Amino acid sequence: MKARRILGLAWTNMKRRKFRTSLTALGIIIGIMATVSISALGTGFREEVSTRLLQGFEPDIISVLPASDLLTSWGFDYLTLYEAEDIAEMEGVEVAMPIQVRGTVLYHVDDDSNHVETRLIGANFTKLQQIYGHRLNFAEGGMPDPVENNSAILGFLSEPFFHAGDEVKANILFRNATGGLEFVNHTFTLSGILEEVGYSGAVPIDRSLFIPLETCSEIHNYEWIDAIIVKVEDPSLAGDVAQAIRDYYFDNVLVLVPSQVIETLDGIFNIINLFLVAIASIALLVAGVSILNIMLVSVMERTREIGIMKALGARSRTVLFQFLAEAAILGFLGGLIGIGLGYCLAYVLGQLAPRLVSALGLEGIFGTEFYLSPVLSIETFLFALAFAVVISILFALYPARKAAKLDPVRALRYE
Amino acid sequence: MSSAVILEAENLQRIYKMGSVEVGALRGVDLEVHHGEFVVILGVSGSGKSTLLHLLGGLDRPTEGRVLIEGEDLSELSDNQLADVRLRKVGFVFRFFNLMPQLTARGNVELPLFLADVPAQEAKTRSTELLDLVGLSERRDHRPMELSGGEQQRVAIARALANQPKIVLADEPTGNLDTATGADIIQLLREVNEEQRQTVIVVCHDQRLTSVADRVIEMRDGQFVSKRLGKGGKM
Ligand SMILES: Nc1ncnc2c1ncn2[C@@H]1O[C@H](COP(=O)(O)OP(=O)(O)O)[C@@H](O)[C@H]1O
Ligand SMILES: [Mg+2]
Repeated sequence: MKARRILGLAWTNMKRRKFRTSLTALGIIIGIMATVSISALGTGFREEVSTRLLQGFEPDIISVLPASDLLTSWGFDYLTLYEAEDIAEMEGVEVAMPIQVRGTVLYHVDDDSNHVETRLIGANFTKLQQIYGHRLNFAEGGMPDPVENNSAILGFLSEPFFHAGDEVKANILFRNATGGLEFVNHTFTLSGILEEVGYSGAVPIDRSLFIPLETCSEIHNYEWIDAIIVKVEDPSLAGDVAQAIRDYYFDNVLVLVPSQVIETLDGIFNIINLFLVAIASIALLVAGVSILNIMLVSVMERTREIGIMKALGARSRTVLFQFLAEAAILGFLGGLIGIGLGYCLAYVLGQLAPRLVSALGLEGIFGTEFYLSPVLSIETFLFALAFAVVISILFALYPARKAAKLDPVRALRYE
Repeated sequence: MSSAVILEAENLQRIYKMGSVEVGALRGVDLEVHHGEFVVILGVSGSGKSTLLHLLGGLDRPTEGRVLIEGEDLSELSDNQLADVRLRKVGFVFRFFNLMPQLTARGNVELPLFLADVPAQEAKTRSTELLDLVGLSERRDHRPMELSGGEQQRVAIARALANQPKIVLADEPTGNLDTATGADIIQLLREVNEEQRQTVIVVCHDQRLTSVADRVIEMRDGQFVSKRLGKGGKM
């Protein structure tokens, strides 16, 4: 009997038992749905995070932060200029740039009508050039020359309020020696406005007002350093230099190496993937067992039909293929529906991602607009579909063999 | 008798084993059937009629003895070859019709055609002819559920004839029908036999069938007890 005919007959059989067919398919649908939705979200998450990380990927830049740990009181509470000097002397280090980071609101000096919230970064302009020269493209103006106490350059803002040459007033927020919040005003002259960078690295440039570190330190009377940005001579040295710094300070500092962060994330993703594969296997195993079960009942019920087929001259193989064809159709349709539903589910969950981010207090890392788009590659689609079909056929093998082996005379007598 | 021997059975025996108990359902039967013959085998329930028919049609294998269809020894065939014999050389008609419930009348008649890989168009033509022949031109697209017993048996006869078998084997074809409908089915079998020169073997305990038979054989306890010419005798 031709394959097309066998499929046709299988399909007719399945249509006759719509309820049972749906019930059997349900296992496959749910299994595939779960697998596809999680995998689509996982891939979406991975791509989103990698894109964000890789855009600002700086293989030759490492960040040194105080490793203050409130629980163990281990680690430095803050860094000083001395650490920056020490690190600058270390082997493989090209530049070590100490920075202070604050929040500020910018106004025009004699016009309060427009204001913008920005980041305030105190840094040495020469070192900033050495490390981020390639990212500092001026839309207007340029570097201050010479650098004065009140020199400043401004990163890209979506609000076009400020221009090169403007006098701006920065209303700077900081924590004083006793821990209270205070404001201080200071006036700067903008020597240049930068073009948009579009991504962040160790030092975010968009929406940042760069001022000399000394000025920053003086105006709020604070000499501690928030971070030291280190550029190594060659990206391949990043790991070694980072370790040298950790060792030098007996692990009292936190050293971030971008490639290590990505490796760590990759490791996490791999664990998540493994977990997903495990879930998928269990879900499909359950689906498979339900197919096995329902098919066995079906073979019992259809014993007489099987007898008729054989009496008419069907070979055992034809009977076997007929049941396998039913399973294959079931797996195919169940798989398709499962993939469709899984994608929809992933989409809905992706839309809920910002809420999850805020519930976990992770806005700092992911931002408030962290919508996850599920990503379903052709490979995943085909793999899921093939998997559904293969699982269905695999678990139908035993009942189908049972049907094929039935003795026709006995089968015909079966009531 | 001039026509060729189409079916032979030699010393057919069939013993069913049920645990340690052995039931001798068929105890040494010899039979020779000629092309175009209409043979009726009469016997009470349990006399071994169905067992014999299954052996003659290659649906089961004998414990002892052998069956030859057109000289071909069925005992030498593999399971697949035996299936092919059922597909192309014999057509079964059963007491309980045994139609596929999910298929229409046409679908049922086409099933053996598709099993024999007959192309769709040819199968359609053939099923139309056959359903016309059994008088069901109006009922082609009805499912068994929507047909009367007599109509279902007509579909079953059409299906048995689908691949132009050498022999039609009918097991109590009137056993599940009322008297009048049974008579119609007997009439139909006779027409098929006479008009198509189709060899027919019917096993039953319906005495009326003896009126259309060329030969009547009586069976008791798995053996033939008498043979006589039937009233239909055209040889
Ligand atoms: N599969 C079987 N297992 C055991 N005994 C059987 C089986 N099939 C038939 N028999 C026995 O063989 C005898 C003949 O049965 P069967 O050929 O069906 O007779 P008939 O068709 O004339 O009624 C009966 O006694 C029946 O009980
Ligand atoms: Mg019987």
